[in-house]
Amino acid sequence: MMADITQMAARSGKVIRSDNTIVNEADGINDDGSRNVKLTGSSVALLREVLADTSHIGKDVNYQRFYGQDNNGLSSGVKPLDVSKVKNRMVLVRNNYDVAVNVRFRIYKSASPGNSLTLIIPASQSLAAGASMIYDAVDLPKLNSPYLGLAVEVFNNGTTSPTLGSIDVLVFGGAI
Amino acid sequence: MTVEDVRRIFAPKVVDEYLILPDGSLASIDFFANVLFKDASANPTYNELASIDGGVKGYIPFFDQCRAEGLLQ
Repeated sequence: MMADITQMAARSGKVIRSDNTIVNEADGINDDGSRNVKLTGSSVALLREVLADTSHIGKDVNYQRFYGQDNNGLSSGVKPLDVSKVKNRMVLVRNNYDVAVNVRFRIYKSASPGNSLTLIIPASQSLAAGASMIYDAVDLPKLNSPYLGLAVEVFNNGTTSPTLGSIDVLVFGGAI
Repeated sequence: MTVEDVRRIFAPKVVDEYLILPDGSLASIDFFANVLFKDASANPTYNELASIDGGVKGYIPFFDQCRAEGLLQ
């Protein structure tokens, strides 16, 4: 038999314990008996997006390109990405050049320009012409280590300069 | 070498519009056929493709793998 709601007393708005004390917000319970919950989770941010960078990396000149908060031809000149607030990092590189390139990652002691502290090992990953690759902690565990600055380095394989094409670099970070 | 040729010859390596390379990277079939290896014949041999690569395009490991699996002669 269904309850006849017209015959039900209005709720007091308070939740009463068996000892007749009233619960309150300090107990984590609201007047109507509901509980406040704190939602937790993660968010992902696009830390850097470089599309169709046509700064051709030559065999003999402009040998390297560094991608951080900006782009630079020197490891000490680039402004590294601030990765202090992201735990999980993923980098997508698309090599739209007509020659293979090498990709590696440099760690910095801050997000300000300065000398790179070291490279993430394995130091160099070859990426074929026209290919794209995802780099993350599955293959490069130190990509997720606790450091402050990160730059992506794309450099020529030292044999042939590209005649056409460009580079795309996208860096994603998941909040801690 | 057309896009259709690439899809036919390397069929086991094709996913959507990409070729899966041995290192896990994905190569654009369109770029592969129409730019990088556009001068290759419709049924190229390993040596023909390796020659066009010239050791600079980065596809020798892929062709090695395809030859080992019988996709290239």
